[in-house]
Amino acid sequence: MSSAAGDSHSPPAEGVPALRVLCLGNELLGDDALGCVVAERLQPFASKDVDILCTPESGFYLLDCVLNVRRLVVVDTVQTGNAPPGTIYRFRDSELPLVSGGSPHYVGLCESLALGRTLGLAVAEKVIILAVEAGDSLTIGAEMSPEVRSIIPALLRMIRDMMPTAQDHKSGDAIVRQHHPFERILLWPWFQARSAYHGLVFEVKRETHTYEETYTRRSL
Amino acid sequence: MPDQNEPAPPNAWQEGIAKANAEYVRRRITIDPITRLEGHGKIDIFLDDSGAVERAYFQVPELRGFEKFVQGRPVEEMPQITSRICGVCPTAHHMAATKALDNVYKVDPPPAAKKIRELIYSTFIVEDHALHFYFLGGPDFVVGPDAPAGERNVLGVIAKVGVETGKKVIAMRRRLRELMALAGGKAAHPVFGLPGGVAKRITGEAQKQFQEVAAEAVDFAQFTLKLFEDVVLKNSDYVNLILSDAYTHRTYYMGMVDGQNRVNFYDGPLRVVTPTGKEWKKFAPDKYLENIAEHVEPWSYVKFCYLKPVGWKGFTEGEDSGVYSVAPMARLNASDGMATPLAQKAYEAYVSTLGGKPVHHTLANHWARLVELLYGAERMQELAADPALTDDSIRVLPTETPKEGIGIVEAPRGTLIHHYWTDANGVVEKANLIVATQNNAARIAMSVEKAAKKLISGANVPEGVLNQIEMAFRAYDPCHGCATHSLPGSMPLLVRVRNQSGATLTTLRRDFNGSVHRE
Repeated sequence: MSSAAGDSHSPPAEGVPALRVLCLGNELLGDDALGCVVAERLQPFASKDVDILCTPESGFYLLDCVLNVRRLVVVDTVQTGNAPPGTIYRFRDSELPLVSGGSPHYVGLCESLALGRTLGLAVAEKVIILAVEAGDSLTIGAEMSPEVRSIIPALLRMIRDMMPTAQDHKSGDAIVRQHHPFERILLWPWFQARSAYHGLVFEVKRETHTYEETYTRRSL
Repeated sequence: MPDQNEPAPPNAWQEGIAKANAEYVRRRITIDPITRLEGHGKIDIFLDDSGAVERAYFQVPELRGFEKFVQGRPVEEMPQITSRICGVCPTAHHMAATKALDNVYKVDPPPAAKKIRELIYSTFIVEDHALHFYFLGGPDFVVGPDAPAGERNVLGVIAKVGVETGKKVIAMRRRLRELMALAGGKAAHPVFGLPGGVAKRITGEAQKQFQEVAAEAVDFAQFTLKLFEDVVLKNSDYVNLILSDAYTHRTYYMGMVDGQNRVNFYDGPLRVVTPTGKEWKKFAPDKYLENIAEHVEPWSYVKFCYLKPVGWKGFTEGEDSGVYSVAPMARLNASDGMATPLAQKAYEAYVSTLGGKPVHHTLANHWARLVELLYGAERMQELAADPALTDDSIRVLPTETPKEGIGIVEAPRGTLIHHYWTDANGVVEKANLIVATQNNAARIAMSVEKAAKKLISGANVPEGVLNQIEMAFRAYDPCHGCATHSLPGSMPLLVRVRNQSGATLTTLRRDFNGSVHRE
């Protein structure tokens, strides 16, 4: 994240969350359930700053989901066939192609974002896509594969790291909560101290718990 | 949906399949749209000994395990389950399932409930058709088939129709979705359908909102037809393309009609017309199994629907072949007109411009869709103006013992059939679904074959074939495994040409930025 990230954009409008985690998935379709599971596990972290959304829709139907938020993290499964199931890919939307797929049904997220921006809608300024290579996602009623299931903790950790509370103490370069500049200067030593404290606790906990457990505990 | 209860074929049959497959694999070209569904949604082009295209097949990925999953579940869950398996048209599945439930429990919903259902369904059709024309079909049609792949996307459409029009579409869509959420529970997955009626009545206030939005929708549909006239019809290249032989097939057509043989999306018998436009048959939904059968090819898991009494005669056109088609153009062919005045006018202009009925040009689907858009909006207006809409009586409680039920609606992409069998407790024993794309499967394969034949000869695969083949199947808007989310991969399209011994002669690859490479 660039050092100017916290300053270059105007603060989100009143009531607009700073971050939305948009989980795409269908709980009836094997590995495609990933998005639903992630959304469920992230629910404890939902707040007025962090919005957790889960939908099985696709195509332009996703347009509503990318509006009125500052940063967007999309969780989805993909099948590229180039990597084993459970592999996590991380992209920015700008790295993805804007191409129409094999069927108009395939028109997806990137085109929705591009459309929203072209029309001057309040599209998320930053979009990160976390896509997980899926095994089977065409069998109705199938269970998730162990390979995909096993990466859930790592995925949750990645998302958690992007959340405002996980970030604002890290380096000071991605402060999402908006304060008056003067206030921010005053708060700075406090951020640093808190960061060091959390880092320490985090390191200690990591030895005995999975990331996922650590985060859950911390929220409690 | 594949029937998993079919007995396993005898060994000799299996061996024959293996042999036939091996023979085909030796000399085929495969086009893989490598996206979310790699290995499933693909086109196989088979060459004969002389290297000419012998046959091309379009494989639709199919969801598996549906039968097993629904077995043992209460049939009342079907409107929720089936709407969840499709991320594109959940309302169509919800409605077909709800109608099948009426049939399972032998209940006839009260008039207000039927009106509410049709009103919500019309709202859904207007939303889906509008979105399709502007943003899904637009890249091929509004931007143009010869435009570079990098421009054939939604931004290309906006560049052509203007930002203001784009905003108008989005605003209209939002209004329609708000109404669907208001009356149907949720816009994404409606929950209003119950056996014998609906879950919620329409209040006077909601009715007023429907009236306002319906009036806007009628204006919007007329505006869209005007835009189609300006952008598409005034461009002779486009008109020639619609009329060109490459996108023309003379097949049977099927669609739902009302009592006066006019297009209806919600209820009525299915009417089939011959390739010359004469009525072949009109049958009630519960007679669909007598009229529609599925053909299986040894190389594919796709089942090709055909008219049972006519019979399967291969991938051929004409009155002797049971191949038929559904979707907007087929619906207009199968009917005698539209039930609302403005749509009827638009229909007449459509028919006369395209040289009379039946219209056989696949690309005419885009225009037919707009005629239906206007009908959907006018139908919304009619239903919203009906004083009986707000009636308190919205449900008849089922008292009969459940057994079997069929529900059919016209989904935006064509006829959708749900059929359930239950035990006396209403627990599902068996279910059968025929979705629009299955009805169209044979004709899609024929379109792809025609495009491939024109352009491919042996190892000579010109780059244009990618666009042409893609357009041939995109015009049908095929349903690729419901409820999937695609992230464009790094290699959206790949053609491999192989010689008879299976060695790759040439590979044509289209990258994500639209550039084509030859290896």
